[in-house]
Amino acid sequence: MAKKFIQYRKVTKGGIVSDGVLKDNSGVVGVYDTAEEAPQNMEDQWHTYVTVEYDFDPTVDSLVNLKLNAAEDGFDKKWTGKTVAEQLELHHEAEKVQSYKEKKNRLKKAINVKAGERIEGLEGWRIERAKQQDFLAGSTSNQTAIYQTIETVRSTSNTKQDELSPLDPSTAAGQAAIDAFDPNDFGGAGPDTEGSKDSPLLATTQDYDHTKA
Amino acid sequence: MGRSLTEVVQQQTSSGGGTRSDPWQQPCFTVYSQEHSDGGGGFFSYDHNLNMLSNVRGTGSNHYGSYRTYSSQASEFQQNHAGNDTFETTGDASSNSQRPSLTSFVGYLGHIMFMPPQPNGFGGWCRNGNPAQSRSGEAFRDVNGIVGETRQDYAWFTQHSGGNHYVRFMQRSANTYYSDRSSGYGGYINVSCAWSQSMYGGGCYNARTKKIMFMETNTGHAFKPVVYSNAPDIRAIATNTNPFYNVTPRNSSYSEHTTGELYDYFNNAANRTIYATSSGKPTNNDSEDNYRCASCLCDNDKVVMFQMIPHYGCWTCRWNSDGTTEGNIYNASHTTSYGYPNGNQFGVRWQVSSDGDYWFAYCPTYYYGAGMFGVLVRVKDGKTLYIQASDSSYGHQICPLGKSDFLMARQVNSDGGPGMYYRVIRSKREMHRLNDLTNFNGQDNMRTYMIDTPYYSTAYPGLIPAFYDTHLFTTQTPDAETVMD
Repeated sequence: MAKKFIQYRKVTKGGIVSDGVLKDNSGVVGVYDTAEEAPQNMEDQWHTYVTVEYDFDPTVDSLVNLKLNAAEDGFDKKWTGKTVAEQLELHHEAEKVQSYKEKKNRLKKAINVKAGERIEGLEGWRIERAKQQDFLAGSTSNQTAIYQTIETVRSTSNTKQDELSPLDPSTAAGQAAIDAFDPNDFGGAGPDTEGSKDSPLLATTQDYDHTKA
Repeated sequence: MGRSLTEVVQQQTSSGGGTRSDPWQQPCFTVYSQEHSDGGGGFFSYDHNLNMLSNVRGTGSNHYGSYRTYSSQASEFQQNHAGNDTFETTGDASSNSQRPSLTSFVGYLGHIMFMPPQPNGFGGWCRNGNPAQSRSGEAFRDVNGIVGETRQDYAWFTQHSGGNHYVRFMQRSANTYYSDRSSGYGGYINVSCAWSQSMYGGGCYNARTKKIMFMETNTGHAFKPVVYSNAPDIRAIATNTNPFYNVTPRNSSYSEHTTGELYDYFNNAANRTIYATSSGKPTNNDSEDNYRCASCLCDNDKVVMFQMIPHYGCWTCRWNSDGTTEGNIYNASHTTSYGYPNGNQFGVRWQVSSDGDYWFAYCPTYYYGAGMFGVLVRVKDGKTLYIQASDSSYGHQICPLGKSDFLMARQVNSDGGPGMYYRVIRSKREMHRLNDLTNFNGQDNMRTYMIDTPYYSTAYPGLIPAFYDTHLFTTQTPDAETVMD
């Protein structure tokens, strides 16, 4: 245990928006030996900062376990009775959920954008051509056909959104389903074959190339 | 009849052609942000006076010929990546692996995701999605330090290969390194380790002292600098595309080079001094903190090594001029973070000031690319200041500014118009102001509403360092120390 000066970030608008998802990013941003050492004027339009003198034992608490108390003169514990490694793992689980919420939101937007692009590709000269052909033929069949195709894009994209909506970012099954979800595969367009996807967070905090001595 | 002649000093010309009288009017960096649906985005370039040099911006959806990512491709950007996460700036740097604002995406070779802004002031261009991040990431992973050098138009690289360094010298280009290394046609010098194992990058060339240093490791996370004296002119080798260095006859094999004058130099024990083993490393984690680091070989032969320790934080080891170790001089911890084993685009990075006198090494503190731990080193004597920004959301990106300084950006959400958060790091002043091993707080007192960003709503902008004629800051500015004398 040692007396430290801990700078803590407070959110002013509930957090920040990351890929359309509100994210509470309050927390410790620095641990210093003296008050003078703590950074000054850190405020931005989303946050204010407070520096608290605190007996900090890094063998008992990770930085992510500290939550500013109501009086703003000390810290409550986010998790009690957990080792530092367990705290980091619990924090990682929470970060994974946040990450998958953002990914789900990106997929939601991607479906809409893909639908918009496909409709964009069907409009313009194709509709003009259909109108001209119908005028000459004295019918509306060409226009009906292309409008129906456009409407099919809309309806199948809505169906795709309905498939995405129930996926739960907070469960392992939901996360796996979000990873496997293809926002391109609706309305007969088939699966996306164009390349790799983004990288979700690793399953655990230390889940790669672990050569720890 | 006689006449007096006034000597006309030949002016240094920039790589853009012509005589350039003001080095500050060269490009310094570009700010990039973008939203793929209806927001659009673009590139705003700034010079070393922090004035805008150029701007290009596209609108959002339904406007062809604009800078926007399409859902299945970027309509103007080269990529094979079927997603919008790669080029968008709508997510923060913690939980997203491919956002332009990530701390580790910026270094001596520019920005992993973008071509650097050019001397003509044009703003930069996207590389091809995440395949290119991994490929240019190889160069960012392997590039060694260069200090005491005012002409920063070259780079040198080491690739870890057991007990041998695979060493390459070339221009300052991630793309060229990737081509040379991956094609097998680029050639390299095979330098045997003097102690144990080679590393990815981690070496340093001091052009002023003509010394070159390889950092070696063992399989147990210990380190030893190996310093070579009377080094050949590395810039001459690199810029003349001559890694063979007077090989006669030229080695017929283009895949490995174990003959020649340069090979003989590096493999001559009389040329090198092996420093003591590092000490005081706080913890060990994985390959990033075993086979990678960033190091500075100072003018007085001190060595400062900065290393990211994934899932812990960082540590810094300094060696004395006589080769003995001072041990751990600065370490810090936060939480989960990722090094190169999770992708070449992650891990420790470094920058150097235009005059080669200040070296800055850093790494993210939090997950993929938020926060910054780092050290600012005075090359002259190894004096070291540090930054500790355990930020859980924002990337911190940095580039050289002017002669000796750096521009530090904190990639805060620019929604509402504050632009990019930034501050000038005055290296000389910081070194005068603070004692050795002091926190210089590069992340505080950020300024706003002065550097515009291309997308107005939610955006965590990326900073793309420019390539410019660094030498002009030495040839066309007076020496302050001489003036004060």
